[in-house]
Amino acid sequence: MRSTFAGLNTLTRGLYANQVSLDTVGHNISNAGTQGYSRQMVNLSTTKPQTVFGGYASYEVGTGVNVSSILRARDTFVDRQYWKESSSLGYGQTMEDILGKIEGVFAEPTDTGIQTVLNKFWSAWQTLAVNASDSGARTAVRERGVEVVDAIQHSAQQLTDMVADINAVLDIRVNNINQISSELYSLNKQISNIESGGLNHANDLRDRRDVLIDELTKITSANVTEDKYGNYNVQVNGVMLVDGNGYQKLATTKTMDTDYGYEVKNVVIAGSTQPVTFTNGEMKGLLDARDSSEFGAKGYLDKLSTMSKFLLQEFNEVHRGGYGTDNSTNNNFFGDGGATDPDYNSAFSAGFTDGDWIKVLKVNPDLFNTTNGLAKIAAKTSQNSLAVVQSNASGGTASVSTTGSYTGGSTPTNVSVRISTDASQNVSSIQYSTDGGTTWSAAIAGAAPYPSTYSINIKGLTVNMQINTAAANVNGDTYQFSLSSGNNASGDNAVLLSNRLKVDTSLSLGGASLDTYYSSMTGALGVQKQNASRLADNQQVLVNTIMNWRESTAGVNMDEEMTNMIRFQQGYNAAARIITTMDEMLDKLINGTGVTGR
Amino acid sequence: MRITNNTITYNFLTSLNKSLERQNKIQEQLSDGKMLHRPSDDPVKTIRSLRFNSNLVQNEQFTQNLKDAKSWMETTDNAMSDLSSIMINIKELVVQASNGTNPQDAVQTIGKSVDNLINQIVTLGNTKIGDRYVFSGQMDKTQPFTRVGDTITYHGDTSKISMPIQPGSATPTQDSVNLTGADVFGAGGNTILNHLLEIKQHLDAGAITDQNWLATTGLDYLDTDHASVLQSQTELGTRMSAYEMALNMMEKQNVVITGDVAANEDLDIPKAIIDFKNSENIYKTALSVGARIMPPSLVDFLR
Repeated sequence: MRSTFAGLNTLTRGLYANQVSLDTVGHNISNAGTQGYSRQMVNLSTTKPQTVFGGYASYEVGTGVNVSSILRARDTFVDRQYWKESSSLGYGQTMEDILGKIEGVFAEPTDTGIQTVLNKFWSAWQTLAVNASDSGARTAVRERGVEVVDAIQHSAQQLTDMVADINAVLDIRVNNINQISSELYSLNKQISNIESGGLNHANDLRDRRDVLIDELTKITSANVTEDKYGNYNVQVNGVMLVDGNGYQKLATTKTMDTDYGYEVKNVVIAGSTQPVTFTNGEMKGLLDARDSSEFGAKGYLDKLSTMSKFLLQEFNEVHRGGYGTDNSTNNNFFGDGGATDPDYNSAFSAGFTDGDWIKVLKVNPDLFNTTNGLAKIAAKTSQNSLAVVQSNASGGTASVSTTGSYTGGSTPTNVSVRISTDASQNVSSIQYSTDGGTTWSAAIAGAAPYPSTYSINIKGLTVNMQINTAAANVNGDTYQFSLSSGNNASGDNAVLLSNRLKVDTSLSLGGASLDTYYSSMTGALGVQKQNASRLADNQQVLVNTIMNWRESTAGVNMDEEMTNMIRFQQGYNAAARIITTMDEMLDKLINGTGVTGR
Repeated sequence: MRITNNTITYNFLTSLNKSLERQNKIQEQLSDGKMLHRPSDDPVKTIRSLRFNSNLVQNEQFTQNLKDAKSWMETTDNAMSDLSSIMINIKELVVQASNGTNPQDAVQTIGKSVDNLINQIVTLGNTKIGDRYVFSGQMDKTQPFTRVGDTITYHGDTSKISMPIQPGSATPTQDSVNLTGADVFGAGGNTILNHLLEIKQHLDAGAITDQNWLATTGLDYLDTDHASVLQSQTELGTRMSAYEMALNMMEKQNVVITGDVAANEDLDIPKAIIDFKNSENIYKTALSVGARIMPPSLVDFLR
């Protein structure tokens, strides 16, 4: 026989179940916009039925409903997909961002990029080739050279600054990872405590933990496994970051780059020197963008260094081979200059690092000397030649060379040199005259052993004269030559120098000319940026698709919630109504029965 | 597939952003009419753009070199024409002086005229373009001819000035623009001038023997010398016409390269505007559709 009041208990449970369900609908609606929230569902089950024996058989009477669990709707498979792909997205986006900045550094194709500056430099040399005697054309060459140096060094500086920025971001990201790890650890503890009963019902804490993993996997790829206590074990490339027992902090260390001398931050396990490597995610993006010799800031610094080296070595080589209007030779166009202008092809530069080549690059300061700077620009391949006429055809041969710049304007100066010989017919001293033999300078004595060289200063030129000692020299023999500003219209070396920039190929530039080297570098940069953008875009589409999958399981649908709301509201109402009915029945039973005869 | 409100919002935002990105890109292109703003816009076109612009600079520079060369040669040519007419003038005077009918003082007067004409030739020999002497060889800052009494000295050299008009090293046999003193006035840069001085001395003397010398040797000198002046002028003329042709070619190439540059990086404006309108429409449609599908849910219909 069942109890008279048994039905009331059943309906109390019904009211309670509908209330809890309605509460959950409210929770879902409230958190519809919460990041990482997964919709929760109330799992109802029937309570244990009551066996009632009556008549010939027993039967089971339902006793109502019980809330067996509240669980979140979540697809772990999709989560794992998301964590895997979001690392690649982080990597792609970081590369896209930084390569975009490198594109900004080189600013091609514009009127201000290195290519334009190189073109102008070339034009200046060509103009000098045509107007070799024009000091305006020389000034232009020098100033265009300064522009080339500025363009290369400015780009190098920007790339170095970018490395510093990347280091700063690396620090921030390591802090993020540490923060996430510590939070994950505390969530692990809470969840394992709550779920010690064995059911995965720490819904909201689990949501929060998954959000943290979402964030972590964007920064670095991570291997996430769940142990039997509900703890997440997170590994980054073999390093256990978090498990149920604790978490591992990471830190950065500082070293100096051996090539360029800038600061490099590397990630290690805190308190040790064990390095942590990253295989994907933002961290790998940052490290690649800094260190890669192919598409990182360092790779582009290498390219600028190669160009600087080319200018200092191979361009200078041609310049050193030419002569200035002051007949000086072995002058560098680029470099430090100084009394002994160093040859950058020699052992002098043997210890240069890649960074040194960029640092050293500048237009030779000697060329800015106001008295003889411009004269040192080597536009011609041969020095002034002086024809010497001698009065005694069977006498010794004389060689004359000059250095310095002629100050006599457009009028040449005729010089006569008269020799004195000693008893053994060695030339012992000379005199010279610049007015056709009217006045003679004081005798300049030579030094034994003969022949010796006589230096005379005439109109800005240092004339070095040497007369071979020959038996046929007679005391009083004269030699004549004429001094002038020289063959300054010769621009053949300027042509060779301009060819160095556009035509000549060099093995140090990978068999290309400087022009081609730079333009193919620009092209490569474009392709790399395009690839990074494509990777980021594709990855974004993939991640979006996975997001949609995840949403389709875990997301809150308002219509659904409203429908549920009505369902549970009506359920509650119906249960209440039945209680009313039962109340009436009991009322009838208690107050309406057994009154006969009252 | 189960669709949630967040799915709709998120997807809507993503596609709205994409549409804006596309508009932004077209906007950037339309604002300056160029398709390329960074290498990644189109790496291949970027390399071509750099190469074309480099070619353009090269072409413009060689055109400028050609123009410089032309003006140099024109100056030289004018001087040579003047020189030629002075030579003819001298010849006429010498013919007049050597016909055997002139008294000595008349011949001497002619000598004075010839003397003046020789001075004129020296002045022509010192012709300058800017501050460069055209007949000095590579010693263009040195005055090539000086006359002291009856000696004329050449101070220049015999080197050629090259004005390159194509990539490659300077080749004086092909790209030189100047005539040196030796080219114009024979060996030493003063052979012809010495002949003229000799003629002038005979005119100054004016005796019958001198007149006979003038009629034979003198006139021979003048004929061969004039012929040699004409020959060097002709050589110059040939070089000039070659340069003229090169200049024409360069200018034509310039048009071609400019066209290439434009075809490579200039924007097809009508197409871009249509694209822009198109993306604007898509954007607007997305907004209005978004405004309609986003708000409603069952909530709106429950009372």
